[in-house]
Amino acid sequence: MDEGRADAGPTIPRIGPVSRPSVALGLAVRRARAGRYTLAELSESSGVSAGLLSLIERGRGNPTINTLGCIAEALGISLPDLVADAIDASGDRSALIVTLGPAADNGIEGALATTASGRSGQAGRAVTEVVSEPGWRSSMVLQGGQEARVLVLDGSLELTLRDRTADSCPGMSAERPLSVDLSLRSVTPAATFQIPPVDDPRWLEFARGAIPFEPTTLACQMLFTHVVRCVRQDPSSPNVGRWVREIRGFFVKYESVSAPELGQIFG
Amino acid sequence: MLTKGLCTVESAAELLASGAVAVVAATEELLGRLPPGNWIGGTMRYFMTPEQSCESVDRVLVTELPVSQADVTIRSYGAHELARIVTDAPDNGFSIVIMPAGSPAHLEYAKRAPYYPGLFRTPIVGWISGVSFEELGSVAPFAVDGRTGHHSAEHAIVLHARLPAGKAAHISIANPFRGGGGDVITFPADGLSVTDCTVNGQIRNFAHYLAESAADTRLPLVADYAGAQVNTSIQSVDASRGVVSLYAPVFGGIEYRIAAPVSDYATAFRDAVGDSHRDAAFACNCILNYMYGELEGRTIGHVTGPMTFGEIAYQLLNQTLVCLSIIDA
Repeated sequence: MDEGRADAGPTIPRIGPVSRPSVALGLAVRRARAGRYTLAELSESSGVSAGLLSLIERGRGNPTINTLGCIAEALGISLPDLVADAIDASGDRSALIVTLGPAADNGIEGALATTASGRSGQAGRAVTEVVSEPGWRSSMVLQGGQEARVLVLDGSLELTLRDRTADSCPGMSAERPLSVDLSLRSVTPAATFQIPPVDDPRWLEFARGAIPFEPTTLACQMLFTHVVRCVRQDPSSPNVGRWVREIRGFFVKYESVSAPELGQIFG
Repeated sequence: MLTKGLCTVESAAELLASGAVAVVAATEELLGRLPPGNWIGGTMRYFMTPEQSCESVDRVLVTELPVSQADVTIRSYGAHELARIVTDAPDNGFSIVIMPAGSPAHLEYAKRAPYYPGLFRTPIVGWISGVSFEELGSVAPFAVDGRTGHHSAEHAIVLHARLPAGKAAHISIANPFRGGGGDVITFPADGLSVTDCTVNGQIRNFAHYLAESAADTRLPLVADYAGAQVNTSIQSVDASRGVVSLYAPVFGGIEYRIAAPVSDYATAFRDAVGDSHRDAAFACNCILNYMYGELEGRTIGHVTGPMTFGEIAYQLLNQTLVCLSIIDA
């Protein structure tokens, strides 16, 4: 296998962008849970506290790969699919998920070799660690059935390969680095989402409780509950307008962390 | 290292005299011995610490806050001024409220807070100060403005703290109670004292319903707020008058269920708290959990704070652990 710096080039497909890995992962967890489990239920089945789950869903957690694995397992999906969904569905533009080609029977090294150099590598190796920009260091390597996926931030990707056969081959280096440069400068920025004005009819639907909605913060849970009950109790225009302004004001203040909620309301 | 825990009044005084910003819980006598400073306090003698939950009349529970004194204001609010807590709060920061149990401020906030414009986009936590079980009804609880030393049995004392850019306040709750699979109870209007309700759609007197169903009134009513479990605890049931008094109001249009029994409060809280509140800047829990759960001498997790007569996480809650964390924005 060709080690060292490799040209990402067109052989590394871009599945989609995200702004921050944590936000994208939070969205993915949220989507996978919505309508199936409450936070409490997922907490119980995954062994991850509801508080941490809430933080993760809001993009504020910094879960370990093991924690994400527990969550994915409890959700009944694979970790690669969970992360791929995070990237696929996000609309921001500062990171990539890289699919390292079909792994087939060659394992991850085979996939990596296919992508990086166009030839198959040897079986029996596994990517064990990904390092990209400062602050993002994780064993975020995802082994799917047919491919490996690696979450990459803007900048360079470094992979460390562990040779599973090293133990049986004295003298072989057990770990070898490989770097892939990924420049996102050519990626077009996504259009900025504008929170709709108060007269957007979707606010009214939302305030009536007509849009399926699972908020992820205590404040939003409480506000949403009070808005729906108050609007149902008094559906007059002044009262509805008062509560629509209230909830819109909430999202305006917390826009930067309200992507999951806003996505549910406005798609 | 911020001070958070039980300490002697002398240690607390030294800390507060140095300018630390803090929330303090202790008996009225100990609160009166603390120097002026950037702190607010309230009467309380029941506490939770990572080591154990306990009652103490000779120690002070200090929660030093991770803010500088220049970023703090302390204000007093009468019952008719409480909506200003929201408008006075910093755009990025948090507010900690202490209100004396049974005070006009307490009762008004309990009923009206969810209607204050902007409440849920303003991180507000806090607690209701109280007295010992033996002193209930005979001794008034207080809230204290540490800057002036003013004790109030009527007003809410609020510490507003501004946070720097890049930091944000995050409020969370841990509630071991879940609505049981039993009857769905609704109330025709908001109230701290209720008579009528509907049970599975049938109009009933709530006190009679509780008596006839032999309900365990130590268990709270639980409402599902879009995934958050919100408790309302039962204070008393007067079956002869058909009146039920509550520690926090029920709200019209919300569905309640009587909580499923919790066999071991300490374990249930430890499970609910987990590691997620380890770094909480502020926490409080409910005296009813201390009492009903027989928590004295037991630990309920990595949290430190008073066991109070009501908890505030935006609105008034019961039998709930409330945490405030400062996180990266």
